[in-house]
Amino acid sequence: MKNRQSNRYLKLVTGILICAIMIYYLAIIASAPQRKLRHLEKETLADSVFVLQHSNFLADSGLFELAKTRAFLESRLLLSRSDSFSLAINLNDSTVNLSYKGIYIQSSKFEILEKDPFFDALRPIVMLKLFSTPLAVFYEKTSIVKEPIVVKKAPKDTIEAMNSIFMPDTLIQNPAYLIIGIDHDINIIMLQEKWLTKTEKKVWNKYLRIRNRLRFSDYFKNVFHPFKPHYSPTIVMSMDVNEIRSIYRALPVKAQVVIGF
Amino acid sequence: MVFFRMHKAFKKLLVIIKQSLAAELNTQHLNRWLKGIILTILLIFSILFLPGLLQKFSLNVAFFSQPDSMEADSLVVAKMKQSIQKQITSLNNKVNAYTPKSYYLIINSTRNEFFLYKGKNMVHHGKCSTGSYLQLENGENQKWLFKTPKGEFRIRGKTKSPVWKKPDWAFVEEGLPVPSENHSSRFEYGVLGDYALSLGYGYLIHGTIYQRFLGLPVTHGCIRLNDDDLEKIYQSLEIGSKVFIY
Repeated sequence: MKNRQSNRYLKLVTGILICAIMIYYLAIIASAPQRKLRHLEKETLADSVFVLQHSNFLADSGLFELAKTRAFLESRLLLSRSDSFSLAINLNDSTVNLSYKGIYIQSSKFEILEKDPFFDALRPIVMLKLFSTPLAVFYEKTSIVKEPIVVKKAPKDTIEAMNSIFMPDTLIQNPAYLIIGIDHDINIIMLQEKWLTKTEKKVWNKYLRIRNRLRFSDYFKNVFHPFKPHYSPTIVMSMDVNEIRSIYRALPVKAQVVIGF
Repeated sequence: MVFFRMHKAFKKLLVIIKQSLAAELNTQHLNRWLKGIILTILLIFSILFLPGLLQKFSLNVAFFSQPDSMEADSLVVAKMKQSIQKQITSLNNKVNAYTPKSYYLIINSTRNEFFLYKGKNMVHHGKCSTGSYLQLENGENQKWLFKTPKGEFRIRGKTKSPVWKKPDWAFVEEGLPVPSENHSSRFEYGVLGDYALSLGYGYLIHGTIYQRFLGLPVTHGCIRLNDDDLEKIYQSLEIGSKVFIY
């Protein structure tokens, strides 16, 4: 009798414990975007000079649009000081521009597949602050080979040389996705337009696995480091596969990105 | 022996399955199983998918709860608009000042295409060939990577009817012994086309006798063009003109 009662208590305690853990888990993760919004807002408002200079722009929607254009141009100008390739993403005209010292080297059209509601929830002043300077790339995940090097041993004589003539390989152009993590944990994802063949579907599955891994890593960071919000707002765009390859192969290790919104 | 052990283990497994099936027939057990399965599914759903849904919901609430923008005097707004317009024009001029006014060349080494620009206007484009990314290894000490460098370059020299002085790798690649520095076998006539433009560091923009490979990465680092495109570029680019390779 006593044993049965203690068993019941044990079950009850375990149930309560699991429920409490689940509630904590869900609450801490679900509140992460809100906490991040507040964190960014706090950061922006702490810069009193910036707020003083820009708060008037919120008075009129036309004024805010102009302020956005100015912010994009200012950050492009800052970008032109770097002597390596960088990216200028303009969400207004849907173009990704590969830039070198202020010159647009390649301009590619894209279609937005997914834009995190986080960007719409940002207050205008925070948006201005966030995108008025170039953002640094801190990680890249991709299916593209940066330098498709093929090693060839020198032939011993002319006969061996004739037999080992290098034929240009056009098949190394594997399906392409490019995930770029930039400051403020923003993810920019570029995907090729179609995923039809078996190889493409294989790469697509790998892409999905990486995205899930990134999402769950954010979840667990929130659980174990609850005082700092971990949330990665994401923009997913689809564009020409060769242009994604060109962009990735041109970008240096620590590239910079400006976003026009 | 191993086979015998495996056979024994398999028999044991069969017995366990039989027992569990018999247990399942008991409705009480079946209920417990069902409850367990439903709880597990719920738990997995709450761990994996529910957080994402809740995050989206919380963001939508945040979007709708944004305060309205401030109100301001229309005169002040008009003045401010004028001032920002001026700043935008000035910034646009500064940004545009980076684009060369004269001819410049852009080469995409991934697509093996070139674009000739004058100011903001593209005046000509076509196929080219760039580095193959082949690494030729001759023993431990000699290695050559045939890759077209990326970045900004300037035209450093222009030559008509260029002669190719074959470097060491050209002989190694053909399985031939490397001759002395100025040996006659090093000089080849006509293989670089009618013109060559030097980018420095030994890299050239030149013509080719392998026109069927244009559009493919096959060169040793130089940029190959067809005869007509090469002539157009030779005539357009001056010494000092910019070439961007990416």
